[in-house]
Amino acid sequence: MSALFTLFQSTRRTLRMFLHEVWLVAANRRFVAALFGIPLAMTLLVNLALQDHGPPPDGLAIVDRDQSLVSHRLTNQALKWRGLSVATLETADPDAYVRNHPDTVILVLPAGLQGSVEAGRSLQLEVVANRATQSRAGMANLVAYNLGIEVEVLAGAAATARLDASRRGADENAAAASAVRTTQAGYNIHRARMTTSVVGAPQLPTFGTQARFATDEGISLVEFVGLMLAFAMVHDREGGRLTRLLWTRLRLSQLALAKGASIFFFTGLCLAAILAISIAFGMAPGPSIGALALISVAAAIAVTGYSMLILGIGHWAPHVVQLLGVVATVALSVFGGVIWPADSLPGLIRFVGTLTPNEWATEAYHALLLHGETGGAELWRPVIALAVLGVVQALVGTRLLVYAMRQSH
Amino acid sequence: MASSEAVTAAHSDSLPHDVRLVAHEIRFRRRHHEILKGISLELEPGRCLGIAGPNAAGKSTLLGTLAGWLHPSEGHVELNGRHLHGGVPPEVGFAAQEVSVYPHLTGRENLKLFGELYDLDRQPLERRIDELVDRFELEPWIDHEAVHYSGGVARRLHLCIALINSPQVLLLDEPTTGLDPSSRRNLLGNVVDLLQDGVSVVMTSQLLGDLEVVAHRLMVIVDGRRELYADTDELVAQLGAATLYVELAQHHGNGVDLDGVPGVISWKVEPNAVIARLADTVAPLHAVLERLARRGLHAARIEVQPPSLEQMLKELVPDL
Repeated sequence: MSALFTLFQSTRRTLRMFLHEVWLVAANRRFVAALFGIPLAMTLLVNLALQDHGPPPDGLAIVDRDQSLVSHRLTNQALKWRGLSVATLETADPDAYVRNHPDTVILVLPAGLQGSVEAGRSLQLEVVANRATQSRAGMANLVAYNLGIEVEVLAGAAATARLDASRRGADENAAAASAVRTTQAGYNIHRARMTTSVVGAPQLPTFGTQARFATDEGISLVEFVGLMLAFAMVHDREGGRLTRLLWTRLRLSQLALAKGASIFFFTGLCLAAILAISIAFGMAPGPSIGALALISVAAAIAVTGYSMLILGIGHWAPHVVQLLGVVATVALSVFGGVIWPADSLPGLIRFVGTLTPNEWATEAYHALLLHGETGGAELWRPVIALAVLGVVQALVGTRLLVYAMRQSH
Repeated sequence: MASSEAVTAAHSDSLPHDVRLVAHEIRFRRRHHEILKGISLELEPGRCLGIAGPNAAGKSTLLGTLAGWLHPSEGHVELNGRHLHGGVPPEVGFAAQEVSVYPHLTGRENLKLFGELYDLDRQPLERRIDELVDRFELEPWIDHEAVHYSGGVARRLHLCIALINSPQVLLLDEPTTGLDPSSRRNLLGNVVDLLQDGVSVVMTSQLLGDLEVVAHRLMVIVDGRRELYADTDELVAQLGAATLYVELAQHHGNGVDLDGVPGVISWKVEPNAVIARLADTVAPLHAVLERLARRGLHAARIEVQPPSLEQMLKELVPDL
């Protein structure tokens, strides 16, 4: 019971300190603007400038030149097609319209459609598409195709009814019109001859410029966020505040844990924001959002470890920490393969690169986004490396912090 | 004149039995440099020990050791009969020389943070904060960010933080540094109130006048050594009512002997002056001048100064 109470108290203290560290940052609006403003503004600008191509044009416009019962029903069926933007259009020149609106495919229901169908002859529907986007207009073409099938079916029903009426000596026109109405009422284009649902594995997204920025450069930006937080925490030593905290019941291990947790919180938040902005602007998140989140958590742990190391150095050698921190963070980008591909670097530098979060984070993101790996060794190896790297660096940083605190008085 | 060690011995015998904080022959070394060289002391409830000394004498290190924050290389510190090690115990409140408050938190938020880190529950903590705010007259400022506080208000908040968990022993490192006379007076008044509540206080200061106001006992440290350790009352008694300064018309004070002059507590001769500590302001003056005249010495200028503990300590400890 006593051990449980002690655990409860120490957890409460650590949590209180964590909230304090978060509040110190969050309440300082200028610092927050500086901390997140640069990475997020860069992400926004890059995404505005380097958008990957979005999904294919799925707009279908129907020009009804027949204005008959049959054409109205065809139009209504198309309008109910899920996953496709369908609208009616009144234009005399579909070619000109599509030339000006390349993301729209036009289906023209020709004049005389109903008469032709009731006569038992199908009339060819006209599809107008822009050459630049035609290959990506699969869904609209599918709807047009299925409507074409329906016209064939209606014409077939009318022809059959006419033949039957002729045999019975009945009114052929009335029989044909009735057959067309009955067939169309029961016709469901979703059950047409051509399949109307997209099945099979989704197409693997490409690793475009947005994804490259969000992951490769994103890690470097988050490292700078971690670096700024570490610098701010070094300044926290001013006025003896850090020492004063340790004169309470708060232990140094709890203090280090709270600081590490707050760095993890902010770096994780920043990385999530960078990815969210990129996804909102069209970056493909890969085959598994869960795997993307897992890699990002591991990357944030690694960056937290790095920041804790800088924090420890900052307390141990406060006069050099700023220069050292900036140089080290740039070096991480260079050695970690962000600026030049890691494979093109010389052997020794390549080895140094394996000690940086950048190298492993890049490898993990590439495994997911480029190779579609969602659980194999190709993904787990860098994820585990990131977590280990973070924990080891955090422990070294904490050790330096303890040493510096003991020496400082 | 009595030597400092003699004074120490005289007062060690009269210590009460109810001792709260004890230091036994503390030595503290860092990188082959001995900062504290065998310092001992005792402190009772409701008593204040004032520690004076030049810069780098080891005052702050001594406080750090008494707090349990620094582990002595030799010797040990006991609080209520328990050895201190591994951190500052909750019975000790420590206000370092630097004001350590979070500038972008309000005074109340600062107190709440430190109180919660002492594991105080919400309601007792809020009551304690109200009590301290009231006692230290912080009401007008307590809900403003500490960055806007004057030096005196910030230092009062700093002191409140040290008191948030109601410690038995309060360690104050140069608490009046940088304060204007009014703030200084207020802060010393607060310390006196705490002493009346039974809190034991150890306070360092460069300003001997401050120590004279609050300290029951004085310690002077020079280069890590305890040069003086005496009850303030005893020292004040030795001060007398006044100091007589006689500048001689002659350029020497040869043959001066004021022993036996009624009302003269102690005396000394400087190259062309005689300085005597008087039990009474006026009465011995005539006798001193008469004794000098008997030796053929005449006063060129006479000055009677009020007693000064600072002057006396400087005489007792020339390196101070």
